[in-house]
Amino acid sequence: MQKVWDEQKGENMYVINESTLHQSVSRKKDAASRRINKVEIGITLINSTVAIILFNRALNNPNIWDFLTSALIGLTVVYVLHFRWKRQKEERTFDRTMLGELDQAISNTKYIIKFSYMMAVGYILPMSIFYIVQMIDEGASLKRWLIIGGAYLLAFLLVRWERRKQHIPRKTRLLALKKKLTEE
Amino acid sequence: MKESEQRQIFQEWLDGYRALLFKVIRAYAYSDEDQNDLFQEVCLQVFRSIPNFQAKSAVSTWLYRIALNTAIKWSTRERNHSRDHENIAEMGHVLEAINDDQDERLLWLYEEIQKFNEIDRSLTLLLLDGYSYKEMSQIMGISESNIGVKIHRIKKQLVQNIQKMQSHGV
Repeated sequence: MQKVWDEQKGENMYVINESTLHQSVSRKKDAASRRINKVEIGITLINSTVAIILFNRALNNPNIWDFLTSALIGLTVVYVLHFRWKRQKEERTFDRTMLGELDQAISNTKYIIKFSYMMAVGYILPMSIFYIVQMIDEGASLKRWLIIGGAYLLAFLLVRWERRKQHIPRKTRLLALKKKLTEE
Repeated sequence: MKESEQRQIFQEWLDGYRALLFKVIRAYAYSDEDQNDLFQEVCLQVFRSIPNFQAKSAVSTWLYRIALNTAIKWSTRERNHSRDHENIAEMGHVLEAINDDQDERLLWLYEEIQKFNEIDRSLTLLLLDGYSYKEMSQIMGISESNIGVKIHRIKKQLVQNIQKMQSHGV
């Protein structure tokens, strides 16, 4: 068996189309931003912008709801940045073996599951309650109720769906892989 | 590190170690499409790993770790997720198999390797390429004794399958 293996001319198995390969690597490299990075940076930028706009609006036209909303959204930015810093610090501790990289992938997936849960429970839910109270206070129209309520419900369901259908199964697969690697 | 330096190193590694990458591709992907997909993914990860290579290990050891890690994660259904986000027509064919007359015993050996789970396939490739238990332990991140137990099981399985094949006269 070893002799058969050693006799194979591995480099002759395939022909590489090198220009297509280089184009592919460039394209994938530029597009290969990590899932977590995209979410973290996206939320930070969007929420910072919204918080600043609402705060400016509240300064020009004093409104308690705008102040409170901008504070709440600002807090989520602080929260996301704190978690990002913690995650990046932890990433540097993983060793560069297959097991180490598997542990890092598992840790990242657990983080994103926790993050999406916190988004649903710690952000979307309180923000929706907050807006409900605001709309009651301001006597919002039925149209506004339907739009705002529908938007929050949709966001909540989407985050929940993504967590259950993508992130949790991914974590399960990675843990199964780790089990195969480490069990004797 | 400048991108031009990174590209140069990538090309040097590709020229010098393509046989290693091909063996991994062949062990983990079966169809032309899958082999193209996995090869491109492996090359991307190799390219990205270049700035982190500190020459503490041999290049071949480094590349094996990257290629096997990529292949293992790819084979646990990562490939469907990544391909769904890319137009199949845009992927382009990077690899073309050379269909020379190949030793049937080699074809059989690859088929047997493909029957193992993702981890055992890695270990089989490393074993056949002459890596010591210590080197395998450094690549995989598990103890040498654990490597020993797994290799023993793999060898036993391969010997049983060889005997079965010979007795059936295939």
